[in-house]
Amino acid sequence: MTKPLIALQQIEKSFRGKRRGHWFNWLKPSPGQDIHALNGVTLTVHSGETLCLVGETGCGKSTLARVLMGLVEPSAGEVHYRGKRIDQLSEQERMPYRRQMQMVFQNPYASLNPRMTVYQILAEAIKLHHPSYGRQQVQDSINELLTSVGLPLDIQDRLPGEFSGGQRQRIAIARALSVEPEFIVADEPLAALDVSVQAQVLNLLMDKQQERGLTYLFITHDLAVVEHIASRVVVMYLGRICEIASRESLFSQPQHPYTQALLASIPRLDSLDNAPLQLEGEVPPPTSKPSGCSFCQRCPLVNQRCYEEVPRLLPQRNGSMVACHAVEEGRAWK
Amino acid sequence: MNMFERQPPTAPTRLSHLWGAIKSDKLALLALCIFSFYCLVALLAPFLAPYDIDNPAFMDLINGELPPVWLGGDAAFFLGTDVQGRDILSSILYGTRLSLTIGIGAVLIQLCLGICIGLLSGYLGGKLDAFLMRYADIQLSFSTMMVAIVVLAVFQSMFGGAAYQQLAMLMLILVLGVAEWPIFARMVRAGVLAEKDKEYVDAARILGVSRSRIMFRHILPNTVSPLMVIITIQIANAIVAEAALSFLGLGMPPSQPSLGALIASGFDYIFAGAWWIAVFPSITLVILIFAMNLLGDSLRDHLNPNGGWR
Amino acid sequence: MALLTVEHLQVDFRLRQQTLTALYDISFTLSPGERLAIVGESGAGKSLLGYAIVNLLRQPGYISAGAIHFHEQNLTKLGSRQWQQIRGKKIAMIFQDPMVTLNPVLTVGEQMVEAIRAHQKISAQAAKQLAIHKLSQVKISAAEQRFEQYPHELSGGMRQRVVIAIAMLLNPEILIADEPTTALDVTIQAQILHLLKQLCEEQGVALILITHDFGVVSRIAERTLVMYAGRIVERGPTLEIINDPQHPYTQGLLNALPQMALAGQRLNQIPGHMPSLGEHPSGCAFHPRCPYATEKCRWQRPRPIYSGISTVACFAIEELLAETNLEEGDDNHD
Repeated sequence: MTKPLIALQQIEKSFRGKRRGHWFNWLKPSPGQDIHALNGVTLTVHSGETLCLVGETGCGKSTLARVLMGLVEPSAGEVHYRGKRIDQLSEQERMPYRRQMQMVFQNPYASLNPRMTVYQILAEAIKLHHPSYGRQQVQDSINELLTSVGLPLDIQDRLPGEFSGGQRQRIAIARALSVEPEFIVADEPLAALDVSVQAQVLNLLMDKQQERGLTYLFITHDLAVVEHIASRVVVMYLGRICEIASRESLFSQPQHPYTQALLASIPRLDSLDNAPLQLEGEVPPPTSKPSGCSFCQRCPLVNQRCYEEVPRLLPQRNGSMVACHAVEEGRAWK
Repeated sequence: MNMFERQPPTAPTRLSHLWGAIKSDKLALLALCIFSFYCLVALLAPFLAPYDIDNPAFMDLINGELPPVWLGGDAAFFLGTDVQGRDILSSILYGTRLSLTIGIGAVLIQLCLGICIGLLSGYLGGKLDAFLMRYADIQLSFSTMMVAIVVLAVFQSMFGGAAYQQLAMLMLILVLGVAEWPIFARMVRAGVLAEKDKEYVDAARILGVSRSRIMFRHILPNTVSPLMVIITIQIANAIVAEAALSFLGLGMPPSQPSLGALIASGFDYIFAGAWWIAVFPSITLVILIFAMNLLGDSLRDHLNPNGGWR
Repeated sequence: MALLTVEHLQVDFRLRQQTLTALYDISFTLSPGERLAIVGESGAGKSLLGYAIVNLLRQPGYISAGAIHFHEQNLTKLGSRQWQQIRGKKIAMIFQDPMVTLNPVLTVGEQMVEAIRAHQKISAQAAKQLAIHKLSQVKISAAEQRFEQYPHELSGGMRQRVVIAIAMLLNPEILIADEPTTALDVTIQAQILHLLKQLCEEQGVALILITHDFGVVSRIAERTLVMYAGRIVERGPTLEIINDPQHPYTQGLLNALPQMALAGQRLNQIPGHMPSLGEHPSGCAFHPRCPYATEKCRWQRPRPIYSGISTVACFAIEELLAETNLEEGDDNHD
């Protein structure tokens, strides 16, 4: 087995909740309600694959991306890149890894500095990682980048405010590609776009992957997109991983009850019926670390053990990994 | 409404947008013209003034208390003269120059301190932020005038009048500048807090852009719009504060009179019949302050994104 | 007998320099209890149409031509006093963001009682009973407790339920829902859609659902209007439109969905993007992006014709019909 490109080990991340107190105890903050965004996530990403991370709001998928990119420090656990631990590096030591890993954000209206022209946005990235480049070389690489994401060259002196959402996302992709990374985290890159533009951006991302042999961690809530591009899928719920499976086995044989409910909720165009399987209730706020399975409050297959013991990710017969007592015990659907 | 959010904003640069807005707003245009006129006059005072105030011959008691031309005064002194025979028009021109210099200088100091402290406080956060902001609160709780009066009075008595006369302008700029930075710091900090969680800042961090570059190159340009409003209003405030201090005898010495010092020196003669000595500088000051405030208000209207549809 | 008839509706925006037209010649009807979807991308004018129906157009937008008939009443001619008798009472509206409707400083109960007593003379106690009844109708568990809570204490899905309950308080005849599930997670979206459909069926309320998502449409709507650049380009029964879209834009929109392509293959994208207000092309507004566009499409505007499946405004379809010698259906045939 080849070494994984990225390995996350038992990542935990909790945020301090709002502190209550007066201005004078700013030196000694009283403990507030903490938010547990990630509770022991272990995950590997292999070179060249498209790993899709699926989950609902508040499941910790964006926090995971931010931990991976070094935007926030994990409370516990380790991040390895090609076998090297990178979560404790200083800004200086991280620079070589910044060239390898880039990110495309959800909202193209917020991810481009509204006061910088396209040229400035792209030149900043290029100059930072190629300090030796002269003016002409920078200009050449910008031209090449713009062409490769399908934008005309004469837009360089315009501000992001003049572009539509799809064009902005292309600029954001060009910025991510400017340092020639091998790994790109895409955090809901299609969510803010119109349907017809979504297809354009998705095609662009897939084209770039083929051209440059990129590895993607693709975060999304849209299962149709997952079904289209994923090679492996990770399903998360409330800061924990429920199921890791290849695309084929996830969509043909979903194992975890949450995965099944999620699949049943996708609106299908081929039937006018409502989903036969509907989850009751909503995702609870991640304020307390659940002692048992995080899905126990909504799970139709729940029993006493689920409230008490955290299920472990166990390999299944079809090769996927599932964290569920019910699957482990072979409890049947009601 | 959906359709409008998608409409690409034409005229995206801030200055051209502002210029367009001011052009269509008559009052703002008037205020801008008045302000530019004052600046021009201040710059060109040595060329415009009929007399050189530094020339010893400028003071001639023979010409003392001449009324303005239209009240039967000497044609050589358009707005009349003061007790010591100084031409009031020349004094006002130089006074405006001094007042504006002090106002703008003080605001520049406020701006530099405010931006640096606000950026650090907002972007780095944590205890530094808490400390700086509490310090700002404490400083703001003393009124600027009070601090200025105390500092200037102490300075005057410690170093004596002669040293004070030389350093008066510098001291005023420093005192007024240092006393009011928290206003800018708070504004910048609020802007930074709103901007720093936006995705473009994350994107810059992921690229490895340095902290100082993120602060000054990425965040700062997105927080300056509201600053432009306070800059104009703070300049007006600083000029008024300087005038008040000079009026109290703590500001510019009579040998280098600012507008406030001119008013002060003429104040004693208002009821003695020579009203013009105090009134003309006062009118000059009031018009300037009025125009500045008007400009600030219209900037606020046009820079405020919620202030109506475009 | 139609409940709501929109005839040749035109909405303009009067700006400083020019007047821009946002909606052109919109005509459709809504029968009692019917569920109608208005589909389009952002910029198509679908939300604007919803606002125009309930007279909530914001300055500088206004209805410049056409009529909206509701029960023999022409809504475009009503004064604000008469609107109070209709908006909220006969025609209710829910928005994408529930917090637009909910006042954050009042409890759910206070807002509901206030709304009831503004229109009906009943005691506070009776109003409370009615409000709690409505809350339980939208499947809110522990309705008495929710009655006392503030909106910020509720989750996103719960808020949207409360908003629906408020909209249904006075038993309206028409419910206009503007992207009611866009901000929600898939599992919650499924719940809310199911609820809306159920309410409409049980209480005979007509629904106008404004959305960009064909998946949502397929779940709930009987009839669909597809809008592009301020015009209706296609209308007909939902199933037929989804299974056999006639207009090139509808085809493109449906084909761009990831479900429509083989996994890993490029998606069928529509080139370009929706023209913004003031840039609507001459002739058929879709011609710059249309694969079948001819010279005629650039200069002439297609009229809606019945194709045998749906009513379409497209010259390509017109020619196809003429070739196969099909009888041209009448324009108003739906």
